[in-house]
Amino acid sequence: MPGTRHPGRLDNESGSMLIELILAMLFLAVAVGALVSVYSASVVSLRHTSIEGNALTLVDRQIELYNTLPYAFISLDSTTIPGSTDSYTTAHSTDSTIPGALGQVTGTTVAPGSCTSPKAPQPSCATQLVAGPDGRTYRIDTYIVFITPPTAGSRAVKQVTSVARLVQSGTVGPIRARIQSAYDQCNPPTAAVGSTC
Amino acid sequence: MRRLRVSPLGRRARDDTGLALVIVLVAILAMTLSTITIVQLVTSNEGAFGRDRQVARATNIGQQGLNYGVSYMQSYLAQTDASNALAVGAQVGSAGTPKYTGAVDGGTMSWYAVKSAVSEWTIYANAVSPNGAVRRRLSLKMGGTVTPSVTATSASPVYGYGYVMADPNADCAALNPPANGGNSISNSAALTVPVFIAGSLCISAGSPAVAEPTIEPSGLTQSVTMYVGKTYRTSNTASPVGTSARPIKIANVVAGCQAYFKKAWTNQVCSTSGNPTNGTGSGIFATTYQSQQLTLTKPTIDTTTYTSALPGPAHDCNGPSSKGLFRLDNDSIRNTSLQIPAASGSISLLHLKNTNQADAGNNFDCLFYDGGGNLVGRLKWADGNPGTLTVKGTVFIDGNLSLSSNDSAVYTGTGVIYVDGTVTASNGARLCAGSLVNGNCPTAWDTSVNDLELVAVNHQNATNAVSFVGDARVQGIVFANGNFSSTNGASTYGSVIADSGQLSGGTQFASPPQPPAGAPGAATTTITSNFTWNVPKGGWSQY
Repeated sequence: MPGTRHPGRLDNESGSMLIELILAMLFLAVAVGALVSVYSASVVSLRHTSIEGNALTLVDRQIELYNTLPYAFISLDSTTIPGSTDSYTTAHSTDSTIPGALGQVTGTTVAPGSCTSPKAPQPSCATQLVAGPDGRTYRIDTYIVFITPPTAGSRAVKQVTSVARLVQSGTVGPIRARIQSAYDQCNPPTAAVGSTC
Repeated sequence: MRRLRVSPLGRRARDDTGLALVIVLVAILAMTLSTITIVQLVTSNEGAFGRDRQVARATNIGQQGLNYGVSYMQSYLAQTDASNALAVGAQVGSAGTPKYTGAVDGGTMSWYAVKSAVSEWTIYANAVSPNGAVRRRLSLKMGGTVTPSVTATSASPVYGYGYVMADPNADCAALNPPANGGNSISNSAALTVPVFIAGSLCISAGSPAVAEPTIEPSGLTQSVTMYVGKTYRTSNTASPVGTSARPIKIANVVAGCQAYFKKAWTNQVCSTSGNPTNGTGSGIFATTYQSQQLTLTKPTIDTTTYTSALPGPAHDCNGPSSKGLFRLDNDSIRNTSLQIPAASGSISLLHLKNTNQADAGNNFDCLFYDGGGNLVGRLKWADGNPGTLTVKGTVFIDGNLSLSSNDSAVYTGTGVIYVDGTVTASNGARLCAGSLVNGNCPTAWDTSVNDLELVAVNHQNATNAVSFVGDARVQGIVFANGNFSSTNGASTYGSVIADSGQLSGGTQFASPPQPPAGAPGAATTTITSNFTWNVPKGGWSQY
């Protein structure tokens, strides 16, 4: 009879386990979904960090190389400077802090092919494909130009800009890391004692 | 059997209802905690890497700052601290006001430099990374080393001649020649050395007046050249220059030749070496004839030698000197005022007591030692017949130098005696570079051992800056500011450099020696210590 209380049915706990299980699974599904997305984002972030970290390592290693060279050897092999459509050349149009391909300090030559897969950083390669510590392939682009510091009375120094790009499936990606430094004739200190540098 | 009584709480505890949900919630809680941990790790990793990236860029921005500093300081120090004279603590910019502040590679950089020690500058560079989170302070030391630099200049080309009269206006051929008559040679005077006459030259008598020496300098068959910048005139001699048997090497007469013939000056072709007394030529016998204008600049006498000479008026004899009656000056003013003996009008260098030969009162020894204890100058006279004059370095005497009757000296050493007034030698005076031979100066002369130059400043513009008369014989170099006169058998064994000159009677000359150090136009060797600034290894630091 409607409106009549049926204590027996209400007191019956059969099926509550199912509801409980459904709720639990629902909660679990929501939680796992959230976790998966967090994990996924973390993986992406870690990968991104890894790539940039490896790229930074490579450009830092490249710059460190110039710290050990005599001033005269801080130059590029002109034959290693890519053509006008390469990102080496076009980077300047989108980022003015990267020098243009023209006006590079050239002179030193390197052995043919040594810029393709060098075992050690090459100072005279405008571009070089290297394997990073993570096994990925990176391209190190190096720009060396003369600039004169703004302080009147200063003489020209060689400014070295090194950038690293990730290469995936043969495609050169965007810049992942960059470092810029400069070198006066006297520094690195390779001049003989008493000589004018 | 007794039934166990169960409390409501225990009954609830034994009830499994809702257990799955609790377990799930606990699991979710655990997963959430682990997720939070992972997120924190990832975030931390990104943060740490991001900082690494900023550190690397800030460090290299600072490195650029150091090199900007070096590029400026290298030039600055070469100009401003080339002698390493700036005091320690000198600065280029400062920490508060850097020499340069600007944007570099997305960050900012500034640098300044401090002279941190003797022979050491330190450049400081402050760098801020592009995101401003990382700052780096780098420093680099610049050190200096002394580099000796030797600058050598050759002696003036006037010393390549034995007889130089440098005044182009000394024109004996003019309608109104100068009071001293210009440049003339007469009465058997003979020049046997290369001759440079900037003005005109007038030769009367002489056989010949300009000629090759009897004994040529070693290795030469001809050594005499004659340059006359204006007109060459000759009279009363058939062969005034060279002979047909022994022509001189070169005769270079710019404004033509004239000979006195039939009581008039007649133009002659210089290269026609006929007898000028009968109008058939110039009387110049030379292998080569030229008419090419030459330029020869007579060195200027540096009157500041008055203060720089060692010894000199500003640097009196020192050390164990025994000056006796000898003085360098009497009033500390360059005015030719010194007279020894008093009121004599000159300095009788070789008989200061107005008696000569074996009078101990004439002796003196003027020494000058520099601050390092080195003997750099000396003028010593030991009376005798001949006496001994010892010279070294550059000496300046503020008076007229007089060598007179029976003064006889053999000098040793190399040096220059500047006299503010004139130089006169007369009546048999001897000033020779070696032991006398038959009363004359020796012809053999090692100028590398004994070489004296007398410089007459002629401050008062006397008619004759240098005057040798009456068999006076001087072996050395005579440098005169003004006129040179040698008459009556006086001889110069060496060379004469003056503005104009007259030779008369038995004058002789010898091959021109090179001037001693300190003479006008002498060769100089200057050793300067340049301080070269550089970047030594090991001077880089970060803090």
